Amino acid sequence: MSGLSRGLASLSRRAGLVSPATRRAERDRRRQLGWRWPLDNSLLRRLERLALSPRRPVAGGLGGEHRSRAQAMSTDFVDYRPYLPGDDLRQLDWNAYGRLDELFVKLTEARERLPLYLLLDCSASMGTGEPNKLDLARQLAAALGFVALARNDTLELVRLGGRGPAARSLRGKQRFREHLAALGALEAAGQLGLDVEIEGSWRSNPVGQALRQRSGQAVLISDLLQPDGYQKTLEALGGAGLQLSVVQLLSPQELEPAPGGDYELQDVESGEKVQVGMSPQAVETYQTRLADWCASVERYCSRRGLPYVLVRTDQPLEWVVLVRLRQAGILC
Amino acid sequence: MTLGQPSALALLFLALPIVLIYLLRAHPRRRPTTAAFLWRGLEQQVTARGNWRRLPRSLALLLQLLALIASVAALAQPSLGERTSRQLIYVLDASPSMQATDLAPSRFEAARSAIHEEVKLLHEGEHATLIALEANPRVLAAGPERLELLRALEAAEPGARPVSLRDALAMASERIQYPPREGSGIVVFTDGTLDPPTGVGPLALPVRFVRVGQEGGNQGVSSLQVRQTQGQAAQLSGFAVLTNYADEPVRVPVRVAVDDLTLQTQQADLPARGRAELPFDVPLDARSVSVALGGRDYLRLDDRAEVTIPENRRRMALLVSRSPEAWEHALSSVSSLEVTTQAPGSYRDIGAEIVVFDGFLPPRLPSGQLVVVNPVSGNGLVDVLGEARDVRMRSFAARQPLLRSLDPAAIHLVKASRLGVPRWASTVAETEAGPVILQGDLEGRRVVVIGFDPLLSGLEKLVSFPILVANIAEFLGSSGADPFVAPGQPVTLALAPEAVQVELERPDGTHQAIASRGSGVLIEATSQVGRYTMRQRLPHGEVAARSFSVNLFGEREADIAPREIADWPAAEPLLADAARPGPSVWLPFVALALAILGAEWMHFVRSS
Repeated sequence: MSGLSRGLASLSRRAGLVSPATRRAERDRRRQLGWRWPLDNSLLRRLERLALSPRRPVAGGLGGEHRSRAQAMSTDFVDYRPYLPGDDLRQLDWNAYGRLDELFVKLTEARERLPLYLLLDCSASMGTGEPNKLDLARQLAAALGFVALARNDTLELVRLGGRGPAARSLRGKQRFREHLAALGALEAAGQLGLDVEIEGSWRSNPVGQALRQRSGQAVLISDLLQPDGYQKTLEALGGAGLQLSVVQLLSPQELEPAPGGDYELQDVESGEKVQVGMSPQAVETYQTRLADWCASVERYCSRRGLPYVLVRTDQPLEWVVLVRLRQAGILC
Repeated sequence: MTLGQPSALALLFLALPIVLIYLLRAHPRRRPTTAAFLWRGLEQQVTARGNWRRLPRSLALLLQLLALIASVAALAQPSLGERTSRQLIYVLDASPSMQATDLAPSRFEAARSAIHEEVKLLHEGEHATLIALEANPRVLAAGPERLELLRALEAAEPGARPVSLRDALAMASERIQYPPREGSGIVVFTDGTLDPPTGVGPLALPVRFVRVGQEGGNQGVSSLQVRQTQGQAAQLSGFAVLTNYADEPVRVPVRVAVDDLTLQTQQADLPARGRAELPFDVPLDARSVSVALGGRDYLRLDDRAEVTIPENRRRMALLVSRSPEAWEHALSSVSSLEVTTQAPGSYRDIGAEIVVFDGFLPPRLPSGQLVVVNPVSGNGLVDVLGEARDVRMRSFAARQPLLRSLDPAAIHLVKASRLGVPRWASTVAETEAGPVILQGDLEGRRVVVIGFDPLLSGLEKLVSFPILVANIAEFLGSSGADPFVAPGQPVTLALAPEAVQVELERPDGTHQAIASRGSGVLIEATSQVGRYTMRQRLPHGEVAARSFSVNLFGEREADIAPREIADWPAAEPLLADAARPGPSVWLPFVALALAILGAEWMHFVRSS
């Protein structure tokens, strides 16, 4: 009789026979979670006031809005130095000469563009969950990308695993649509070894050049559920000199699996099978292990000064972007 | 509740495979995970790897079993019927012969006691019906309450009227509750002196006849008549017939009384199963004559007979006819009549006590007793439906006073009218074409309708015609009471217009007040044998009395020799365990099964 019920439910779904009430509930739930694709204008207006917060000056090319190690022409006064032959006479501070009877040159701070690398985990595990992890990752990448493009920063979308278009360097708010199109074309698939992927990006990905240059800000959006550990990945990224921030995404089903019945769990990436009786005790053990895993990631990031935030996919996007990312220091 | 298809309950075995499915370990369902490495080492928590497991506490299993039960219940076709219990229908013969005393105190009492013993043996819930086999059978009590049955049994009384076993069995058949269960039956307690129940086929219940009675010895007065002899000197002559129903000759003392005073006594030798005739003279001023047998026989009802003598006075009779000769001659031969003749065209009401209309009927009827001869169509009194020719009387009531001493079958009618029987009349004789002689009571007067012209049939030349006229005159000219009244026969008595209080005394001494309305009173309760006296109190204190007697004349009731009646088997074998079907209630079970299936589906959808 359960088979009959299951068959009827399957037929209902295939035939799209979802009740209007179910559709309304789904629509309300998605609205509550802030899933709006593309992002709505109210969120975009609020994102315009935000900025990425690099922890140290970066070299990204002048013309941006971020502090630069270089001293260059700008309106931001930094210091004085004695005039040296060959200096630009326009930089002489005549007021200082009048007072001190010596020639001094005004030093100003250069404003450079901040490259932002959005590293999106598109492995098969990111394509699971309800709400879907990749969907939230796209939303977060879109929000972060808009912040960068609004500030005339360089935006680089790096796909880690999965399928999708090759990323291009984008700059300027007018390129936001291209960024959204690239995000929309991403598909979760395959297995991911982040360290290998990073290596691959390093070599084959055109943006690997930027990574070699050890500058820029990177935000890794991943579930970080690799059996061989996340440390290699983060070390590889950190070793590239990037200012790395980590956003770990987990779904409610991963955090709170439903107990009951015997299951054969099959890993969506490795294919590993584990037969488990989903007793409350087994679920509790798993949850403890997952919490320890996430705690170890947080500790690792904390020791290395990497901003880290754990996000549930059922949390509202606006709250994640405007509160959690700012609390983590990824946005300001 | 009963089940129309109890074999459907076998489908409950389907619960076994349902439970087996839950006992069997199903292959674990496959579920994708993103972190199999976090589940490693938890395999030992998988429940036993064998093929069987303990029955889980599953709501789905419970709902599926409940749905199965509801479905099977619907398929079993439940109904609100109930198991029938054994039912007994007791028929108590209340005919006159049951008053025979060959079984002390009487056969009726013996039958009552036998039924009493059977009712006491009824089990709880068994249904019993008690039917009194009377002239009109009636149900005295019915149901499982034994006390009620016993009370009704104690109140039963025998009667003096002939009974119909056929009607009683038909009534019993209507009381049968279906389907009848084994052990049920109809039990008739009778002495067997009944007419065979013709036209009653095998019944749903077997019929058992319990014979009550042993001896058949009975003698009785089977006929008693008093007539005024013809001739110059008016005289009254009495004539009694004494019958011996026993198989041995017997000598019985006979007492003849006039107005309750002994006229003569004598011994009568009655042959075995034979009769003796007893003529005697009756004084002219006698008002009643009785003949009583002494001796000891087993039935007292017919040991005495009494007749009232018509008042010995001349009555005025009016004949209205176009051809009055034959009627004049016949009426004039009745010594008590003073006949006046009128032609139809010059008819006028002269207040005659008896009026004969021959082929004529005035628009307004006179107050006297009426004889309507050969009524014309549209007469307003009786419907003339047509005519018949060359007919003979086929059906007639032999005991009718109008047909006394006549052989109606021998009467050939050249032409007769087909009469419609009005509500106030009854058929005395009929031909193959329909009723031809009627009698009745209309507005307090007696009416006799003769649907043929005796002259056309040459009847006036036969001795039958004056006998018929004499019978009619006697019938109409008596004091209103038929001197020969059988038990149960209604009697009409004329009331004095000035009577202020009327009372009827029955043979058992009880009195009944009668409303003094109209010119006559119809007395229907004549089941007791003996003398009935109606007393009318007149304005000046006078009391006018009219009497009539009910006698048990008839061999069927007087021949009390018990007879065996063979038992009847049931039309079909009775079921050992039967149920009475009631309204079917399978539909609620179907709805319940569907509701449970819906709940199970919702449980599955929500849990998945």
